[in-house]
Amino acid sequence: MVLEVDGLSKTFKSRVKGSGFKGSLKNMFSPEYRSIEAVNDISFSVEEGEITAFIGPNGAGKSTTIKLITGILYPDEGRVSVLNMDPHKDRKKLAYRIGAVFGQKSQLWYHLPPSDSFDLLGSIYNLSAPEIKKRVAYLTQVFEIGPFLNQAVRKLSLGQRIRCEIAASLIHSPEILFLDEPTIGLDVVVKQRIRELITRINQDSKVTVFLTSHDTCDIEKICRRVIVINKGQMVWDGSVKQMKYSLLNKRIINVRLEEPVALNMKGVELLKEKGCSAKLEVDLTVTSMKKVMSALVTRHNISDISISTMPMDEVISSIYEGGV
Amino acid sequence: MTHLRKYRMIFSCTIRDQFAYIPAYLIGNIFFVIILFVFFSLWSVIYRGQNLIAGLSLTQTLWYLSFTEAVELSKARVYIQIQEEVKEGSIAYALGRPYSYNGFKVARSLGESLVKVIPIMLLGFIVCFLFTGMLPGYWSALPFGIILIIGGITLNIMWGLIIGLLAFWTEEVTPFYWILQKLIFIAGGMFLPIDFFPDWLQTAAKAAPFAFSAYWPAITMVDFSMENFRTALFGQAFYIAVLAFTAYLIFRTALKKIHVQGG
Repeated sequence: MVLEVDGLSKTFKSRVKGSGFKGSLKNMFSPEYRSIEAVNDISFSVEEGEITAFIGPNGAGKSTTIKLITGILYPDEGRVSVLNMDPHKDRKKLAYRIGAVFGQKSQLWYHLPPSDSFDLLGSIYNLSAPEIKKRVAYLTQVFEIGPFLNQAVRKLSLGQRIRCEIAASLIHSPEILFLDEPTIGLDVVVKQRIRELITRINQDSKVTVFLTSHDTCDIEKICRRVIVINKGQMVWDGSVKQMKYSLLNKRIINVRLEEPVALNMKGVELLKEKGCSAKLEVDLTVTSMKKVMSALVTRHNISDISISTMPMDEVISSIYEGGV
Repeated sequence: MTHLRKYRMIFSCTIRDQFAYIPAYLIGNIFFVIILFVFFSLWSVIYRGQNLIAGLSLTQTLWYLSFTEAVELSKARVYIQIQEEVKEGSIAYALGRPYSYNGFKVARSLGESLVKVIPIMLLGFIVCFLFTGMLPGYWSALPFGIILIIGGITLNIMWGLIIGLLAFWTEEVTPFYWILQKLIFIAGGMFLPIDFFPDWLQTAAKAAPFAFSAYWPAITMVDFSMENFRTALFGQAFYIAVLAFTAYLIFRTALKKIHVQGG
């Protein structure tokens, strides 16, 4: 195991501010505080080489967990072990072996070209000049950042910058890479490219990837395992496949008939209907696909039909809402 | 050595990064010329009919101002940087690196100040030369003065670091810096050499840390003696050490209470 988290908890104290002038005045003299449980009794472990998605709605405690794991925050309770080290005691030692990208924050120098930031980061991680050169050459080739390697960061597009950000976090060949929303704000094509790069880095260098994202495609396309956290608590830990296929016993049927649909069955809900086309949701805990199909075939003339699992977005919203 | 290399790299990266701000900074230096002109006019009136005040000539007093201003105007925005990093949460990157956060800030701020101080010193030289003529003993005092100006800048960086680190508690640290700046202005002899103060105030003001940012480097330049230089150097070293240790303690405490924004 490269990462082990056991009973991790973190509570923040936040000042409650009253509204209006009176509230502000009262707040100055007798401030009120309330406790926010950002992370509450979380336990999981990650094996070497895994790509794990760590997801949850806004304010669920994802970033706090990453910051606890990387030693940036101190936990109130629980134990964290990263590469057999305590990140809070060995923060600097551990820093040599892990990398992190916080999608909404930059680690590159704004007025300087990425190559300068790479050189600086290489020195920070005590790499020699030839080692830095070799590593930058490799990352430039993998991330295809050669054309803008010597262009000031401020002149790069967001997609180009994120590629450089990820490359920068890999300069010291970390064993674990923490990616906090790496695809945020990117267009579909660039997102796809970033996903390919993450997969490639994982396969080529056996880097363990721990990723948070709001983009369900990120999870579906690159992760084999998913941990879901909501209101500071873990609500799901399992494979992405298992989550999609077994967790929600619902299937979607898109059907085009020669006449309007007329199907009144228990466990079948009509989600959408337009002319002779319909979208049905089948609850497999109530009925079977066989029954629904034979009812459709007996009562209608089917022109076209497709059966799919629930879209990932809906699966995840369902988990967030406590539907599973 | 490899350990020091990273701080050297941070220093040199900042110098290159700061070049982007040079045009704006040079335009901002017009203010410096105006200050020197205003003070030259003011001191000319005060000095009418007398050659020396508290042992300093008009020439020395104006050049003194150019040196104190060089330290002041070249100060790094370290407290603002830390405040922003805490507010935006980008401190998460810095804390995940294998370096001393305070060491990183000092190396970065030194680079920033160095880029600012060179044009200010040149401009100060030209303007003061045009107004009052050459400062006697300038060239022989310069090597020592440079050391003390760097010391003054470093001392200011330490103050900036301490005030910046308070952002872990208050988030808005500008008022603290404002108070410090005014203390350096008044008690530190920024505009008025401490030698002009009443006797009872001089001893305390000269020993206080604020004087080692501005007064001591400037007075050593305009009234050079090895004794002045030694006093200034030891005082700076002492206060830099005290403030660096304080900054270290504050950072260690801050780490335990840190609440990184945005997650």
